[in-house]
Amino acid sequence: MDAFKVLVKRYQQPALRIAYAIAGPDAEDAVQEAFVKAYRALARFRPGAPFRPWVLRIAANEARNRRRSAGRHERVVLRVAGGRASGDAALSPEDAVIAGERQRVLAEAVAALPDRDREVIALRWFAGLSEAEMATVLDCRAGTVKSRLARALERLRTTLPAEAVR
Amino acid sequence: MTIGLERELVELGDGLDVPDAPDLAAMVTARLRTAPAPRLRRRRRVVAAVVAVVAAAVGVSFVPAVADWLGIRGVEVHREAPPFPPAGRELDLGQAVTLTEAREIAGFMPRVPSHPGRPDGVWVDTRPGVPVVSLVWTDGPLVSEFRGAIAEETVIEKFAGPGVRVEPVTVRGHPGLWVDGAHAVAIKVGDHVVPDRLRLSQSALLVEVGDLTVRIETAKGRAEAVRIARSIPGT
Repeated sequence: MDAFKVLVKRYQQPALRIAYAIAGPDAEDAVQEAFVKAYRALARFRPGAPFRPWVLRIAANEARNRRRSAGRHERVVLRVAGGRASGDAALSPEDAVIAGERQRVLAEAVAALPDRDREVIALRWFAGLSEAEMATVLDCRAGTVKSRLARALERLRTTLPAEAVR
Repeated sequence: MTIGLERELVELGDGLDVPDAPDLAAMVTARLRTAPAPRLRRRRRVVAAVVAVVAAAVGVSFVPAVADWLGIRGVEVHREAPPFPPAGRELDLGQAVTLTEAREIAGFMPRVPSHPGRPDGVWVDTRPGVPVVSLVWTDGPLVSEFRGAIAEETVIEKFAGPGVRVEPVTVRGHPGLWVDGAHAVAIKVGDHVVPDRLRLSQSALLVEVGDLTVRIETAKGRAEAVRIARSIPGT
């Protein structure tokens, strides 16, 4: 069991980011349930296969199910943590405020996207999955991943205020 | 423009207010421990898969070495399927855990009395508002611990119901209360008080040990409760 703890700790951060983007406040419950299901399904895990997309697929499915079963048609809210507005430490205080504001606008725009678009954005840029890993998570071909990402980015760009697009 | 937007999305991912979930691993393993154990053959496959995946994840190919390093040879397989379920399953005490997991979830190290010996079950319950760790012996007692002070005597009386007797006691200088004839006791959660029912008997000894309140329920009476309290480290 301690060995499985190692795996939970290793993959919980990307799992939480994905679940948060899909299901909002239910993220922690969804990820906990996902790891329990992953453990029970380990006997069916193919040795040698990449583990990260396998476990993150379970997390994404669980988050999707929770959002669906809760009957939530309202928008997911993505909050930006205070004091982490930008990764650029060289920003002046004024620029940091502007960057923080831009991040909040971007978070709102991502939150307003259809679930399918928000999910691929979370997988690619919030959790840092490669397109090949995403194909495993989404159970589709790499070409489909590419086109879904392009569509999601395009939709995001059109919803952002002009001054927020760089 | 797309590259700039992609970079901003990566920064947004880093800046999102995602739950920290520091206890996630402990909660997951606690849930797995309370779930019915899978059949032996499947359990072996699961353990083998965990070892293989961890080996791959940490970049070590020599699986037996990893199994030793993680302590999951022999001993851990035994813990996957304890020969007997933990005592206290019928008492609704939350999740069955190990002492280490109880510490991780509750945020304090449970104080285990040396009398009447090693507990047969350890549970943690986060429902009351503060995490409550319970130590259970098959034939009693039940010792519950949580961080906080004992509620005031008048509050205890109010929650315990009519006919209850509440007497101040000290155990090696530690303040406490002996509550007799009660169905529930009060737990202080910050400025609030919530009721918590007694499970084993209608009497309990409450003692403050450090920043913990320890509640001892035993059917063997006050003298036995005091004996147990005296065997708690730190009293």
